[in-house]
Amino acid sequence: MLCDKYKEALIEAAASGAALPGGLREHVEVCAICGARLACERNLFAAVDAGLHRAANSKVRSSFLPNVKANVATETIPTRNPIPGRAFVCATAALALAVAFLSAPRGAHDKARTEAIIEPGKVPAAAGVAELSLVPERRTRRSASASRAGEQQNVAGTTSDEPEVLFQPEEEEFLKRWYAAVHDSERYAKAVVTDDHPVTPKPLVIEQIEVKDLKIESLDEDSGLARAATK
Amino acid sequence: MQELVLIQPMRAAEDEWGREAAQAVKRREFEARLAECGPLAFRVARGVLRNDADAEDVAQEALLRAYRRLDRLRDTQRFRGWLVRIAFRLALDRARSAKRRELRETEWAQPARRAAPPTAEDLAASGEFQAHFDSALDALPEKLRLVLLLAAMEGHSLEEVAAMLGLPVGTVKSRLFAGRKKLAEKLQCYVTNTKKR
Repeated sequence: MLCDKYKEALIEAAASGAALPGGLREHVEVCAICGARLACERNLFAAVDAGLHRAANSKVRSSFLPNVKANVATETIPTRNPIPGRAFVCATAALALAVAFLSAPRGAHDKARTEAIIEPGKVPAAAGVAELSLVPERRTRRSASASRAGEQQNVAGTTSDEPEVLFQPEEEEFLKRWYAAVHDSERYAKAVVTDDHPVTPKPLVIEQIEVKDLKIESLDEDSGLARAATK
Repeated sequence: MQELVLIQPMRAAEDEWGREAAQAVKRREFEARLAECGPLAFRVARGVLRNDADAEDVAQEALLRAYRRLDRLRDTQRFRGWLVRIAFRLALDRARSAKRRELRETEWAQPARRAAPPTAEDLAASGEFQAHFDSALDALPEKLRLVLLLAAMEGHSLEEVAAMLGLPVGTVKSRLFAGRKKLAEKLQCYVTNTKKR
């Protein structure tokens, strides 16, 4: 049918609501069927628009907004954590690693720390008994953790390089003597050990020994003594 | 061993006051938008659900959700579009679950019978054309449906719809045209049948 080619154009024209283009308008004026179809399509789109308008513009009840406001007023917004969850995970992992690192090489770590505390090089050469800081235990009784912290302070402390020792008051004299003895022996030992010059042992030279002729005499049995006389 | 805990009561109180003050500011800001955007959310939900009570529930839920997540919205100018999308999505979920529930209840109560078709009186009461129109609208793709609803709302120009949905105006125009055309095609059968009768 000749009018079929105008079908789509008629629908487009009805949908857009625009004026018909020249050729189509002339045809619609002439063809009653296409004129009726155009009117039908226009009615259909008008009905669609009316239906859409009805569906989209329903009246809001007056109680709606006050209800929402009341609900909003009772609602508490959960405060957003400024530190994201991933940071917590990373921090926990780092903490676990640190704990594992500190606890695993326990022996080596303690040894190193002990050496750091009583390292002889740290003690001044002129340090005598008077420089040893001796603190009676009763005056400085501390908890285990505090003493541990104190040990670290002794290593890195800025006030004194001297190690602090806890002792009973009656043991003070004994400890001073022991320290002096240890200190002195250490100095002597240092002198021997730290001698850098190579020592080449000289071969022992023994001069010729002159052996004289020996005379043998018989022993006197009465005296019970054996005598050897040389002439 | 004694454990010492550091407590700063004044600082805690200040934090609490600051939080409350921030919340109050946020609430005021939200309430100012509510008058404008509340009806919009309701209409979008009503356009999908076609039921006032359900639409109010959904709109209220959408508004509360928007209020709770207001911090996540970077550009406050996009609040309307954001709210529209929340309401539309919630309404679609509600419609789908209602449809599933209805089907389940029908099968459970009357396993041998399907739901009875609406009577002529029902159709007449609700408006026969409107019933067909509703089913045709439900069958449209979501992206077309939302554009049709927003464009049909009073006071919304195409530019506003485009801004709300974050789409170019050309896309909105083409979606609007395609949506109306599809609706017309579906209702064409109804119009032809009515004429034949």
